[in-house]
Amino acid sequence: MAIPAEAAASGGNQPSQTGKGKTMQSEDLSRFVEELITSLKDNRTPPIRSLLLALRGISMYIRKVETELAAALPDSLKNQHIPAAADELAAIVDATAQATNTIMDAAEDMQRLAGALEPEQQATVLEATTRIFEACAFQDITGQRVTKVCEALRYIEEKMDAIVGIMGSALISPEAEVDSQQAVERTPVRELCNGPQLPGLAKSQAEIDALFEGIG
Amino acid sequence: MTISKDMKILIVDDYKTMLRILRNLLTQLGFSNIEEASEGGEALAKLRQMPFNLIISDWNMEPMTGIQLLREVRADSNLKSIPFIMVTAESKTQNVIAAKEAGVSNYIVKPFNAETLKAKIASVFGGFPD
Repeated sequence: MAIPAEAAASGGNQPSQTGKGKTMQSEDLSRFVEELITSLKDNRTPPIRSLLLALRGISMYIRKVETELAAALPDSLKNQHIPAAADELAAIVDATAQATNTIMDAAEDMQRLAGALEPEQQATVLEATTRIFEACAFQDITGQRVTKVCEALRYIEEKMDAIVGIMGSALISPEAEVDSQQAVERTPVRELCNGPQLPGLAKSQAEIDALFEGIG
Repeated sequence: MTISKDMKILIVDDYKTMLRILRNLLTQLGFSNIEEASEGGEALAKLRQMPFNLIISDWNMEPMTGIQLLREVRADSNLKSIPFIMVTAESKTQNVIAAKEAGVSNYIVKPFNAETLKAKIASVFGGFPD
């Protein structure tokens, strides 16, 4: 019986990794167990029969895991649902940006027209347009929140790809392979770029001021 | 360092909408000499081309972030004295500490209003013109 090079190289502690760091796929492990069973099945000694029973149990367990993972991670999740969710989120950002620009166009028109009003009315209109501009900042915050969700989706996609990599063709067809270039790396320079925190977790301007004054 | 309504202000943000909001709010506060940049690298190029009296920058931009821009500015002998206000959604303690250590003049957390912007500009310059 030929023991797979990956299994031979891995030693006993980490059976899923080869000595070169290449991941051993579940189908290799499955084949190895099957070959072991075949090579031992003519040996009727009690210890070998016990070993065969255990190996058949392992073989069945691997198939069960493959089947369950295949059901839990259909191709459509990676190829359709996650990309569609990312597209929808991008569309939300585009739509809110368009709406925000339309609102600001109108506010700028109001601002220009205010020049022809009496001073008191002019002040009222300018105060209103200021509030409009302030409120329009929601689009920036929304965009950053959506970007965080997109990053979470990308992370889930990467983890799915890793599982597919371990399970090999037993799980998903080869054409569903990953472009690892798409993985987003968080370089040190991006470390403090976390985007807005959720309400309740984010600091208020007063808290920022206190913190700012308290440093150095 | 004196403040005047015609001083040159550079606003830096990768969201065009936010640049527009900042420009409008600064206009309403009486400032009219406003330049824009969409990220740190572009801002740095503009800063090296013409004199500015104030930089108002976002943090989270690519490829050059606001904190990188701040460090570049503070490391440049021709630019290091320009007041730099960070306007960002990054409100974590470590962000404020990092910005302060890098030499930021003040820190505004988004979303903000015109009054906050005015107060921080006044704080940096020690007053606000009528």
